[in-house]
Amino acid sequence: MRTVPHRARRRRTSSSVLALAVAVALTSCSTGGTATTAESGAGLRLAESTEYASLHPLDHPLGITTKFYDGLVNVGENGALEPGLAAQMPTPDEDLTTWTVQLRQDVTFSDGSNFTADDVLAAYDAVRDPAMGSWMAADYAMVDAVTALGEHTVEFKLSHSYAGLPARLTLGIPASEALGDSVLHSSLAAEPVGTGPYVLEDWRRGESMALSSRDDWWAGDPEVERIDIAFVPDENARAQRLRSGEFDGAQLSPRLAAALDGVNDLELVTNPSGDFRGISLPQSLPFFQDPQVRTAVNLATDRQAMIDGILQGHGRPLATPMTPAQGDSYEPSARFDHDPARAAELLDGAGWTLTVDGVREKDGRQFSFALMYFAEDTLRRDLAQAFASDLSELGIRVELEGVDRSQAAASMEDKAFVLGGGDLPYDADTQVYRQVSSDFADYDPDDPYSNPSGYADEQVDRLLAESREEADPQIRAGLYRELQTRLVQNPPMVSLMALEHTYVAQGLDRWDGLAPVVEPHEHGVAWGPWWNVESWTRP
Amino acid sequence: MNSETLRTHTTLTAGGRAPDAPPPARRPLPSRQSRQFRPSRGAHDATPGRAVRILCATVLAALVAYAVLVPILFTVDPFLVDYRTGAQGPSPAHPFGTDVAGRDLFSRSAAGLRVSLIAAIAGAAGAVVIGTAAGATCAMVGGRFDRWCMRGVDTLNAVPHLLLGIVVASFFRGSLLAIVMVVAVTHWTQTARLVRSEILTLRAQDHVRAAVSQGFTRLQLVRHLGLPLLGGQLAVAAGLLVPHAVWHESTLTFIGLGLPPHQPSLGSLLQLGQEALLSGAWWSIAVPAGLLVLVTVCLAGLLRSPAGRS
Amino acid sequence: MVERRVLDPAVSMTPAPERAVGPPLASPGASQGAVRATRNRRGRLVGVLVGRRLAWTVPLLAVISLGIFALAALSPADATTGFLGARGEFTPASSRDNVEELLGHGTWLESWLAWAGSTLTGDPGWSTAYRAPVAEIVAARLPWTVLIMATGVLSAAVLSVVLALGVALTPHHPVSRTVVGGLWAVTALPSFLVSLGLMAVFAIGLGWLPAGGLTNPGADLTAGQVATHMVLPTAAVAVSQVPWMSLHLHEALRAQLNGPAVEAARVRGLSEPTIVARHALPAAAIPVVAIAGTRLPEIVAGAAVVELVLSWPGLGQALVEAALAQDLALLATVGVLLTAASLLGGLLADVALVALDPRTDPREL
Repeated sequence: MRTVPHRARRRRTSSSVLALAVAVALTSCSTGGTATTAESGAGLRLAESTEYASLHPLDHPLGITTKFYDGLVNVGENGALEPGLAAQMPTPDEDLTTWTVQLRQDVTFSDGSNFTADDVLAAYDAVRDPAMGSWMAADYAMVDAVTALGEHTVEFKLSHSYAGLPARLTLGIPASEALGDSVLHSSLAAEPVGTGPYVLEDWRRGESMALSSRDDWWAGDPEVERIDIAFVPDENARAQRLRSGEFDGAQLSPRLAAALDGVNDLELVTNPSGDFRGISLPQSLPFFQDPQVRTAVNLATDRQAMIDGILQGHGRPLATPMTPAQGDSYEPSARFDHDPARAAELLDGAGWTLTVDGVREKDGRQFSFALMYFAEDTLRRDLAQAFASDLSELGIRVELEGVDRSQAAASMEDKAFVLGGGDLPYDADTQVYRQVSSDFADYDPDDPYSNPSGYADEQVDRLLAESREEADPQIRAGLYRELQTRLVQNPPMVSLMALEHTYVAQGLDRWDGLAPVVEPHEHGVAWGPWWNVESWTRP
Repeated sequence: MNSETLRTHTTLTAGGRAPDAPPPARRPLPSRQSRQFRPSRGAHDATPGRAVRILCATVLAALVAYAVLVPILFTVDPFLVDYRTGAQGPSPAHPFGTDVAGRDLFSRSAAGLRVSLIAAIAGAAGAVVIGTAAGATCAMVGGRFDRWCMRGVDTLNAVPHLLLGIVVASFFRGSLLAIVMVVAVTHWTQTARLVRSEILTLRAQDHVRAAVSQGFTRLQLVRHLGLPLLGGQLAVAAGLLVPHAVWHESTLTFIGLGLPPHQPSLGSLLQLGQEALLSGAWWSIAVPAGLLVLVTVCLAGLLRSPAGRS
Repeated sequence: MVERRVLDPAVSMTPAPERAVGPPLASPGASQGAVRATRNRRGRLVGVLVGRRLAWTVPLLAVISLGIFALAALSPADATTGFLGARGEFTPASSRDNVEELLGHGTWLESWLAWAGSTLTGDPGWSTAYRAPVAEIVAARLPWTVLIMATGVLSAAVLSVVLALGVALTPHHPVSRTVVGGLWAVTALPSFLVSLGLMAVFAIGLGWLPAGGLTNPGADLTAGQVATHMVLPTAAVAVSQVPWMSLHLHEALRAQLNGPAVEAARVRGLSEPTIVARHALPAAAIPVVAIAGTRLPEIVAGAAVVELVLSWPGLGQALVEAALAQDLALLATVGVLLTAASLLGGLLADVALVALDPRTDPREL
């Protein structure tokens, strides 16, 4: 057992006291209570669907931690990257292997200490340190060294040219002395020390959390002074409590969000995202080795019906993992229209003919495969059912399997899977590379979600590599558009749709400064209309 | 209050009939489980009467027929999805309405009921088998072994079964077998007690003593005299466990640890129904909830017991 | 602590050292009267009962925790996947190895020994699901579980007495018959369905009660806030317990009211309310107390399920969270705590039975 930080010991004793004295606590608290900032109008009361396991920025990026931490680069309006703790955007050298970042000089952490290059070094060393146990370590594998060129200048040396680095610099920077020796045993998991606009005021485990604004944040004083977040896993309860006015907002499934739109001042708010869903077509199954068959399956999938029926229209059909959120890099003409007749022709042409029992066969082998989805994920469940239903009309039998994560990983090689992606959509490389690069074509039980179809295409690999080395944004975007055209000719999987994340909120008109954003796979009250709550102002 | 009432109730529950008093030397240990003060026979208002039992039997038979026959007779695929016909209320075409994915709840509920019943019956049967083996072993070996075993059984009884179920089901998620095993492994104790006390009672009877004096071994006695006589009681014990097992399956599935959600079962139908609750699709939760209650109430009514939970 | 509390009513005359578990001491002296001697003897027997039960409890808890570690090793789920959760989908292989390294602790037996050893010294380890000490998680959640369990059982008891009295005194009234029938039907409801129903009706349908949480969002943790928020969870726990309590109590009451003792009291000319309150009800309570002990595991498990459905921040929630995340230290600790709670509760009920009913033989419990 690792050593327990002193903080933890202190808290343990104090909470044992709580255990014994609950009755006292209940009776001694005044029942009246002073008006909180939430009631006086300078606060927000939001409902989150799951409690956070950790507030450590190396364990939980791009979520609620963005309220406690800033990255060198932050996500801005419409998903554009903008300087955060960096004074301006990082500048690369000619071959994109050395990146220099000038830091802001006026920044302090919530514990009062100054932000310097040492904190940046510590954070990026920690995230790459195997002993730290950050799940993002491999994403920084191309970083050879991070060095300080002065108190407020940092240099990143990369092992290969990499145009997508700025998106990776969104990592939140904690105070170096609070980092701890691993994400598991660090005090940062529960007690953030960052440069961000808010500090954690209170965390009632299993129930709620309160954030209050800092009065010395480098970008100014947030006018939303307090954010109360309650953890309400049950979606019906969340919706009901929204309807009764208990909350100012929450994330809801499209179906419930649409039902609440317009009820008691509640409004539906959506943000586009790089969060996509797709179905892997593992090429260990003989029928999926044929590109014609993969194309047929793509044509047989009625994406719009899924979007309308399951997402209430809040999604964009996709043909590849690239989404409209990637801006210029997105190729709108790369698409699969729903065409079951053409799909049937392709299958007939490939030798998969219908038999009397309605299932296609070739050389005595039935066209039948298993499709896994995460059992607890209702969206993936619905998509799996709809996909199976579409294919059954084409004469392909799909056996559904609701699985947990371990089972999914173990069977990824020879079972199809409803996959999700878009964990970092702010660069085309981070959006698409792991999904289709042949680097990940061999099945690895420790890395089952990268290229789960076992797809390899020389042209795709070449385009992926070239775009990493291309400094000119226009030319780079062109390479990615070319990539999508190729991915439609030789599809690796069935890309279904990019989600629009749906939220329900009230009282947004009391504030100025709301703006659209592109959300990653991660969602919740740190996103939605509240993603830039720190810069909201009163009209 | 007198101790005689207490004793009668005790033996009624443990044995299902009033047995001869066991010999003092071999008196079974009083069972904690057997201290169930159940409304006695002939009670005028608390016990389901003959009419109620007939009614329960009829409804049960209808439910079983529904679960078995509908999936055979109706060729509508309970897996086929069409979101355009989702969340429709009961109508002649769909007597129980449709769920949000447009699947017919009449056929889907039947499939769900069938899965839940199969899981429950398998679990109950497993529990009775384990319990019979354990009870018979204790009674046959007797002495200190028996005494210790029964203390152990009492202790095991005090473990919250459902919590164990949650733990095991979360380790083996989506596995029907895991649920059946959990029910079997945690519910055999009552049967063990029952079997043991019956065998001890039997042994004190004349014809058994006669058999012993003729040189029958203990194992032969249990096999030829004990188990056949116990058959009816074991069936009742298993029957009483079925509602219990249905609860376990549905609870575990409902909280997301049991069967996968596309697989219809009472638990997964309820889970899906809950999702539709706020959008006003009351039937999608009322149907599976109604089936669950009907099954457990009727089994309990038929077997004359408040559905005893562990 | 528990031990002394449960012994007090029965052995109030016993000198303090005798409360200790173990073989009874010699008779305290010739000057004491016969009554006192009997009490002493019963007190010692209760001591033996307590000792014996505790002696069984320790190995059982060890076996249960051992079983949890062993089952986890058998299960296809693994700790790294549990720790990563939803992020596992975006975790490349080398990062995954680091996390595995961070969590890895040898075989399941070694892990269990490490956990058991440190638990015996008062530190039940580190929760991987919450990235915090297990003791901290348990301490923060235990009070809320105890709160709804205790208030739930208490309100169930009060309601049951009222119902049982009402029905026993007017056995032929149609309302009584309906109530009994209704109670029978309610016994068929699993507690998650009860919770769901209560939430659907009172929180979602009528909007009278909050649907979850300890307080309104942003409100301070005050008694008033908690009181309104605990109504639904408490009611859900209570509703599951009322049927068996009141049916058994009613049955026992009916036996009492038709029994010789009450007959004698009637002959002596005591008023009916006095008879019910002074004679019938206390006697009828005895069997219900006896059964309460055997029902405790169900109450504990029921409360856990209620917490899940009504998002009450208690141990039941943590148990499921820990199980899903393969957080064995937390899982074993919570499992052992809840089991210990129901074992000690059962013991408490049995000791109460000995104290209430002089005919109960502690040796047979």
